[in-house]
Amino acid sequence: MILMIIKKNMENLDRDLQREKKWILPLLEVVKDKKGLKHTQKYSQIYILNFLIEKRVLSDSRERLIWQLKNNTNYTTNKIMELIDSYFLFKEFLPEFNDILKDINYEKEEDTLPTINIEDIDDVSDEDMEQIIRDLEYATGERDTYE
Amino acid sequence: MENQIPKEYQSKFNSFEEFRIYNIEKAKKQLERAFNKMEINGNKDWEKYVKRNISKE
Repeated sequence: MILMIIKKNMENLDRDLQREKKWILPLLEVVKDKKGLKHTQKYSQIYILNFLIEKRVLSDSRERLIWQLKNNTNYTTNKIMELIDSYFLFKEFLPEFNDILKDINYEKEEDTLPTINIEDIDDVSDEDMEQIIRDLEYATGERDTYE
Repeated sequence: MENQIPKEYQSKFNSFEEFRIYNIEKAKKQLERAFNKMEINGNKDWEKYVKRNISKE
């Protein structure tokens, strides 16, 4: 059951990532124009990560971000930790996209995201349900720590 | 299906490639605004910061 719900969250995240793909090439082209090719090659993943966090596709919480990247990429744990460390180190140098999110239909897109249908959930014990809620809260960012 | 020009744009573009390039340029202009804002607000020197931190290690 928990796996089913997590899988649904993963599917949503996967779909969100697919939807954002169209922004990645333009983003990297702008970085190249502004900062040069060498800088772009070296830091492209940090810019992409920053964009996805700003668009709230990925979480800005360190713990949740690790969890999301572990479950949605083929990166090793070391690679994930290195990327996340770099992101938080360079965060102050990265562009903020908040002001332009409305122009790129962020809110409109978010409204169309499917939600989990309660009828899809089989009968579960109270204990299982509490665990599911904890998993969901953690996955969606309402909970900071995973117990 | 994925490489088809949406109906509302079909009269404006001769090929999907033209449509794709138009979308990239449009997205670039929107994204550039975030970078321009950063420059206006005083873009800190990333490379200097990296060198300073590496030399500390």
